[in-house]
Amino acid sequence: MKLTRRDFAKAQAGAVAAAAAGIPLVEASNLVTDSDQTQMQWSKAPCRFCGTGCSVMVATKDNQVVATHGDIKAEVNRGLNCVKGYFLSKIMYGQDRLTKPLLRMKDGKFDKNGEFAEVSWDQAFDIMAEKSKAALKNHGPNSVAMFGSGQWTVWEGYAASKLWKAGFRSNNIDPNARHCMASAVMGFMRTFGMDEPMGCYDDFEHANAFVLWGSNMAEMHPVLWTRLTDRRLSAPDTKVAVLSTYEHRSFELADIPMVFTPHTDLVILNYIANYIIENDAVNKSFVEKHTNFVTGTTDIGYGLRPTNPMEARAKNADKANTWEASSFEQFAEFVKPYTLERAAKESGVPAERLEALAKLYADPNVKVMSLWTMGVNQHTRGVWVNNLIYNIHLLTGKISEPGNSPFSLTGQPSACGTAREVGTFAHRLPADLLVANPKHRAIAEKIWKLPEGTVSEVLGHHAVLQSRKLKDGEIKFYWTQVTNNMQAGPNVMEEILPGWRNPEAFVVVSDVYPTVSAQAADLILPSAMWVEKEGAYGNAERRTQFWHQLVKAKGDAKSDLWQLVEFSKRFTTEDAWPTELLDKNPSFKGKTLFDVLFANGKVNAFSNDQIEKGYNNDEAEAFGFYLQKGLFEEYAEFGRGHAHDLAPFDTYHQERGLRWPVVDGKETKWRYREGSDPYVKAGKEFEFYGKPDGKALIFALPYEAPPEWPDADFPFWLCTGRVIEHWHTGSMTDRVDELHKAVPQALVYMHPDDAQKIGVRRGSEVNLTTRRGEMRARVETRGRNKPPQGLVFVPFFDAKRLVNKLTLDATDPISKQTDFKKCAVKIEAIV
Amino acid sequence: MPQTVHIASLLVHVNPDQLASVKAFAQTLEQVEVHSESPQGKLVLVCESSHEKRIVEHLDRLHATKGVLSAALIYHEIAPVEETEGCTP
Repeated sequence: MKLTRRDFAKAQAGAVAAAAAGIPLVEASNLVTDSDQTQMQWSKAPCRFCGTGCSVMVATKDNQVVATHGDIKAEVNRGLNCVKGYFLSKIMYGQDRLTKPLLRMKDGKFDKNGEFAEVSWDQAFDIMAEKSKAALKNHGPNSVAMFGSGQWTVWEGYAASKLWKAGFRSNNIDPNARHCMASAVMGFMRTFGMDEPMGCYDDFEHANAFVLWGSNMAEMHPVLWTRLTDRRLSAPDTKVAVLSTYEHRSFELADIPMVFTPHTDLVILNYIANYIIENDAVNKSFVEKHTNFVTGTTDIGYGLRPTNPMEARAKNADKANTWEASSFEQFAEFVKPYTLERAAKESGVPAERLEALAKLYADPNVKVMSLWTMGVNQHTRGVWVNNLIYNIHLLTGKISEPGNSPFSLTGQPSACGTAREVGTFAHRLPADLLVANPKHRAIAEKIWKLPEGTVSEVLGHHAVLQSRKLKDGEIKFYWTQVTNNMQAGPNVMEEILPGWRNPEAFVVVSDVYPTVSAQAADLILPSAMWVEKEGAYGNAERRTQFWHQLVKAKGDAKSDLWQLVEFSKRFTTEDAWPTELLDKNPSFKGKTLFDVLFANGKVNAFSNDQIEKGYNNDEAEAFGFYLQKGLFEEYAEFGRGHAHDLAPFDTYHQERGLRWPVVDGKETKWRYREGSDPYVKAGKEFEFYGKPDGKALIFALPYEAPPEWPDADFPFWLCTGRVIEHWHTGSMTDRVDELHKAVPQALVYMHPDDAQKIGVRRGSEVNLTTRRGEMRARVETRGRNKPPQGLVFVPFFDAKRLVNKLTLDATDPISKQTDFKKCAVKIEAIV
Repeated sequence: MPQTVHIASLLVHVNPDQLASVKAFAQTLEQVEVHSESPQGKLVLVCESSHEKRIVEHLDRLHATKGVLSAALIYHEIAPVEETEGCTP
């Protein structure tokens, strides 16, 4: 029988899936690839969605992506692909893809209240240069700000950070990872002195127990959830504990399901520490050799404006990130009041389940992997919760070895690789270096071949503060790339939109589609995306992955990298640097920022003939050198020899990613343990070398109330988040047809008894009101999310129903990350 | 746009006790074939449809089925109908 194209595709589809599942094939002989018949070129690329970092095989034909499948050779996903990965090819080809720069104009000129009209890239850069130069000259470096993304490629984030921190001498750049991972970062920095997880995904196949602390992995990290499920099914003694403030799909696999009252995770975690101590389950030798005890500063406020009465009342808001030395005895005394009875009463979780959870951690024979994302990080005490999870792993010595792993999951494809590692935070430089540290600034200046004093010691503004400063008229030029803060940021109507529409500010948005943010901007720049450019991402397990440009971008769309580097040509050092700095370093006079930042003999050191044959590279062609390689190699200098080692550039185009530190060509799976991490000195067993004495900190931190909780006027908790339906109902594909019509409707998930109480039923439209705003949406009482009485869940991905009009811009005072998971809301039937 | 056909494969993890019932259910889904299975609780389905929404609906319905622990998409190809026409139905 002649194998038709359709048969071939179906056989291929089945074979790839069977291989991913480890099911032996019967009809393998049918799978002879006939290149004439397929005419498809297959290349690898990491998925551009979540932080899991799945590798996907991408087939192109006639400059279009025509097929994708999970990459069998990839350790992360082993051939699997989730439904989001499925949309990878579609998202590039939506009908309203932006292909020309658009400027608000009236009578042929820029007008803040004008209508969007097409302009050339030259015109776009003209107005951007005019506005940003005026801001720098009249209002100083912090008046120009950038808001970036964990979806930037590694070199895009690095180029943006360098343009801002070295070029404009402004640290006013922050990534959307501030809304997502900042609490995890500060948790790592406080406990270990170094960012990112010690373990890796291999832990999934070694653990005997999994504890989800505020993560709906089944929907948000489906491929990792499949690995976890596989472990649960193949090793029947494995236990899964799921904690959340409402029941969601991950509860289907839960042996110990726990719905707790918002914010009481602080109580539960301290109870577990207490249980471990009272039941003599402390790993004394580990604790003695590898940890120190400290007491954290309390009463630290909520990151609100200083004029807010709740903020004014906090005694220690100005020293939130401080602590004092303590001892094991003092710590034991501190957690003593967190009894099982108290934890059960305050959390609402049955005592026997809490005790079963505590036993998983206390039992020395159970290897525990703790997993968390936004339930922990988007929390006004999110840094504390991160610290408290590490406490438990440190007290029991369950860390840095296969299966014993406190693991912070990430939401974006390069929250780690880009946002965190290349230094795009307002207080950071590459490889965990800090703006506030003069030695660190000197390291950056040396690697960047720039004069002493180029990098400013003045901190930039974190994301929420950027919005406030726009509203207050202090930020005059604001550029956003690959992120949609008008929809994703908190308290939109009071604290974000007013700033963007402030006549004092000029707002630029680079994006692929006309998002809510793009529509609120003054200038929209059309971006290239994913395989339309060469890229690199770093996933949650420290794995750096590369891909080649596989197709050309649509129309005049250009990569964010091209936009940043081309824009730098518009400035001379005189436009951005003070006279004193130039007088001391006259050789820099009269040069463009492009010359000093990107044509510096390092970034332009690699010629285009080093690009792998058969692949385009539009940026390299535009600038005349292998820009991505130069940026990566310069950036890698920051980490090599400092426990952030990256492999040579070309290696990553061959490998399915490598986990840093990569030393002598070998990746590191478990950090901080002798024999596994080359940075741990012989005889130490474990060494937390981010801290000067190699010891991790165990923190005494109490329960402190959230800034707002339900009362008579606003009787429900409001929790926001994601649902897989956003993808399931075709939001990406439909969204690109028509932004406003197609984003799936956000529903108000609530308990049926609550619905009955307020006189509504499933499908009824209700009005939701908080102290900040209101919105309408329909009630769902039977969906997959089943909140307890007194709490409602509303997803934030609906452009027509902006739930962030309701949320409070309270942050964790240490990480400055917003708490999107709890505020008080009133719900009324619409009659 | 020329008419297209979507060919996809799904890997479904199933509680082993309920493998038979989930398999029976999967066979009722339109244009879905059970490609292979494993007694450990895995089913490979191959699906062909004129619109990707159908594939997503299948995933949705599988997720909502008792005994299904996870359903992951593995392969997806969009092929113009003329290239596949004339073959066995």
